[in-house]
Amino acid sequence: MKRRTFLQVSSLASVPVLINGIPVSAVARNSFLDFVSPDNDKILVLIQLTGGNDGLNMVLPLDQYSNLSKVRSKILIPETLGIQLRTDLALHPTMTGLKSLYDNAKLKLVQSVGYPNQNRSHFRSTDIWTSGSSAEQVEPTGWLGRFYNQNHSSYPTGYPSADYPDPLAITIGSLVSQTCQGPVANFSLAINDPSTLAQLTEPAFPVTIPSTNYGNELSYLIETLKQTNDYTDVIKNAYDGAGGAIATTGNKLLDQLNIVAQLIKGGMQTKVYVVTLGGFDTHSNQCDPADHEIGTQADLLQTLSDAIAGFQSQIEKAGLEKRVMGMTFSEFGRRIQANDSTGTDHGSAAPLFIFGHCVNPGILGNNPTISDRVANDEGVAMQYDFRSIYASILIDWFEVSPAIVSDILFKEFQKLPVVDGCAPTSVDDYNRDFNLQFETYPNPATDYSIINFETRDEFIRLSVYDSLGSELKVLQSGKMSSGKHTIRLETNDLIAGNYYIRIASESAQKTKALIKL
Amino acid sequence: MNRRTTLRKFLGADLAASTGTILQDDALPIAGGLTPYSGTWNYATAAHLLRRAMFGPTHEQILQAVSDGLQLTLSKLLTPSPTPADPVVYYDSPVDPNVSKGSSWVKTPLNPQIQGNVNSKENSMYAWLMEQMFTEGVSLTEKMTLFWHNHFVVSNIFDPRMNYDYITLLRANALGNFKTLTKAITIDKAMLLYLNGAQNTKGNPNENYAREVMELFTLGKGALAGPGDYTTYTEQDVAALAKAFTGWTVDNRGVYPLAAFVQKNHDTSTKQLSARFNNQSISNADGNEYSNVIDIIFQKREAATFVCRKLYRYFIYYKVNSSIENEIVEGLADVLIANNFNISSVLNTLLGSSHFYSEEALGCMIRPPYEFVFNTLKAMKYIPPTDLTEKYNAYLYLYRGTMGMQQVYFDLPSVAGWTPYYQMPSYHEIWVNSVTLPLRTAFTTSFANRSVKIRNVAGLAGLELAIYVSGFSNPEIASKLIDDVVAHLLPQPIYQNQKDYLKAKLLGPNTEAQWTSAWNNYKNNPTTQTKAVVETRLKPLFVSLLSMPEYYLS
Repeated sequence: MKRRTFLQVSSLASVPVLINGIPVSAVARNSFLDFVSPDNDKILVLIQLTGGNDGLNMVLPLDQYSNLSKVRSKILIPETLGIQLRTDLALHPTMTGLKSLYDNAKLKLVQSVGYPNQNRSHFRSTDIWTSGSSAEQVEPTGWLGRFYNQNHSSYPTGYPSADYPDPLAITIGSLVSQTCQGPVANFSLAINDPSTLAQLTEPAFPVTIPSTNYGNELSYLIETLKQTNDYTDVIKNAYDGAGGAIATTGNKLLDQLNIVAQLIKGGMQTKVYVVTLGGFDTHSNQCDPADHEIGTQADLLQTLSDAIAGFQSQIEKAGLEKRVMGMTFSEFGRRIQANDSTGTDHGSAAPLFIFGHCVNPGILGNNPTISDRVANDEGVAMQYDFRSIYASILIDWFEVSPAIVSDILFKEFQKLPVVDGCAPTSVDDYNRDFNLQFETYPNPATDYSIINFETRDEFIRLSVYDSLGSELKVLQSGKMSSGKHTIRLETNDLIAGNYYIRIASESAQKTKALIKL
Repeated sequence: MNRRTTLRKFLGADLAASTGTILQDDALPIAGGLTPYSGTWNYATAAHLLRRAMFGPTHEQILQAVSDGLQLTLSKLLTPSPTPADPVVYYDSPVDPNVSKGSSWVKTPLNPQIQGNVNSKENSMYAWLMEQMFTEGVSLTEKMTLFWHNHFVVSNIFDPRMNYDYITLLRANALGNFKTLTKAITIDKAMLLYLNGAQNTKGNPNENYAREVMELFTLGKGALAGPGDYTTYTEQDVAALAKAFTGWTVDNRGVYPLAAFVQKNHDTSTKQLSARFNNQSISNADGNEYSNVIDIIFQKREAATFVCRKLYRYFIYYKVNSSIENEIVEGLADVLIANNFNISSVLNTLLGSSHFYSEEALGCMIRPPYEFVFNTLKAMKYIPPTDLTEKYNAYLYLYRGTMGMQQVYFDLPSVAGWTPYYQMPSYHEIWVNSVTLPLRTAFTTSFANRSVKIRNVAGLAGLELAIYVSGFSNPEIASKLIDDVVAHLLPQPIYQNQKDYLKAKLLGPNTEAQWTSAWNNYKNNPTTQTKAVVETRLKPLFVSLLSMPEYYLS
């Protein structure tokens, strides 16, 4: 690392940054590595699927089909049509692009990602995912905004600069991404079409700006105008340097990713790109009523899969595959039961994909358990907290120290094996992290159920979730000694229905269904 | 320990406020309150009121408001505009067997089998919507129609007749009764389709509308107080309301779609509400049950505070700190409840309050796209074509040409409305970024330069700058002209360096005396030629003035 940059970063780190009202600088820093590495050249491409994607029709848990066919027969994809990744798991038939990435060890599938106390409002849940906060915390900044704020707390004042000539983050589209919202400004620059960028005339600005609401908004507008001009040339240069516009493809996500690819190829140092694909809110006509493998969601998934494959191929052709990784996310999955309109309503957890040359390839997590009696409002139980994925990306991809990541995400999250330091091996890590074992009986339960589990000497959280994704009871939260343990769960106060017991350690988690009669 | 206490304990005691009610405490201390404004009434205050209440007042409308005084101006603003004439078929082709060019299509069959027929009616409606904003009088009707469109969102419904009926319902009730409007919108055809009420049956209840009517239309979502408990309502209430709303659908069998109640699809059971509604139950009332449900919702104070907070953000500023919440929002809610949810009572109080004329309310709103566009066109005298086809094409150009600015009628990103109206922490700042700023500049520049080529309209369109500045007292005096247009178009005074910059743009290579004589030539002998001379100087002035960040504020 350049010494000059190092000093700069260290001094910035001592500026008090408030997180939850507590100055971060008040937290003791033990290591000089305790900051965000400014020499890291990795790039993250976020693909936001807006509306809430139906994970159960995207990643088909083939071992659950007998029960699935009872509860979602109106939309279920025939199991023979799925593209098998494993004997018990298949992708939607349109996702041939992702299958090819999987076969080439460039795809990570993480099962059942969500968060405790699932919120089923699009807006609230989108806020939770983009802010990287808990369901209970209303957080105005984004998770990447807080990441950027570590090294760039004065932004936008003084940007672009000699050290940071390029936009820190870019949103393709007309609105900036909430993921990059910092405490003062949004760290992302919106770009629609780099080929149409031009310098704007800067009129005479006011001599001073009053500290009123008027002045506040006037400052924002002046800053936006100046910054748009400042970044216009660097973007155009990068874009044109890479050969300019790529012809539109008919795939609206690929068109966005092609812009991203050109900017990366053009040498931009921008670390984060956000692209969006909408239309996943499939309350009705999710699929064709007769042929479930075609229809609205099929088209969307094909768009997604083709776009990722097309983008990856461009990045590889340019020899940049060791610098670029991508990730999909959606505000929630959908319900297990289909509704009466050949659609599905807002649900809970869902799988997500991480792709690129440097992913730890394979499938993480178990197939969700589908009961033969599913309540109307039941969603897929969460297995992984989405913030665990954020934490893993920040630590393993952006080389942020774990202590800072805990600040960014408000607490420590378990790191998952999603990034593999660019040493791909075609390992299927199904069960790799499941050193936790647990059983519960009786199940179905009436008055109680006994949970037997075995742990190492580690931190354990054992909790009960309802079918809406709410964490109802925490049975254990704290350090446990190595060995076998037994906990009795009183079920008298639970109303009849499906529940989930989730056990999580620092390195693993497992979710099992419990039926209360 | 009861169940709720247990759950609260597990969830942790400190539960944050919800998005709908988040308080931002970095706003300045509140100035003024809801007491009626009794300060100076002049051009600046009158302009402030009309800018916020309309899509862009003309200089003449502001002068009239100055002479009318605050009370009369408020009463004009609170008078609903007359019902506009229907949108019409504006092309000869495709030929529609049921309606000819120049006639209203809104109650006629859609004829989707005729290629282009549905599309031309959609275009007719979009153009007509633009026309309503452009031709509004001194009334809050249009501004509030857009408010309700952003509130009771309907988007992407592909029957223009339903869209027309929906927007007509909003316009007719724009300054009316919030409770009445909520009832009517619940069984509006477009809404029944948009939020799946039409598919909500006894056998398969669909919760979409039941959830949004509480979360986004009336109560707002409060803090999460326990699993499925959002303080203002619970998941149990969502399920109960969904059942109560069952049976409504859209009957498309006739020539014209109608909302219909199908008895056999209605759940006649008694629906039990949660403690958040004092454990009330909803008894079966068949086709009137929806109305009873809205009555129950409106018993809650949040039905008033939620919409008043939203009105505050729409008319004053997005930052709502605790003193604004306590003094303004709660005060407005008192007014709304005391007036049985009559919205004009709240608007009258808010727009006539001391707070509305305090420094913290002046000039701090970033103009949303439609306000930015129509303020430009109305204030500076754009003249639409008179020929029917050309007129519709011109308005359609405005509809399509401004889409990139991210506010498009009947195309909202979600049921929560346009993001800048609700997304913290940036709110209306989201309107302006590196993509939309160049689009806005391109719009004002091309209109100021009269260089706009509209498809299927002869000639080039633009602002009538010479006509516009004729309305001021001394346009021949360069400095006076700058002062007057600044007072009209910008929300706050600007600095001398900025006035000098604008004056330099007006004069170009000429002197002030030369401007005076050019203007006098035009005024004494208004020919194409003398007009062209002054417009050559006015164009750079307005290109520059309309590019100033100050012009983006109201």
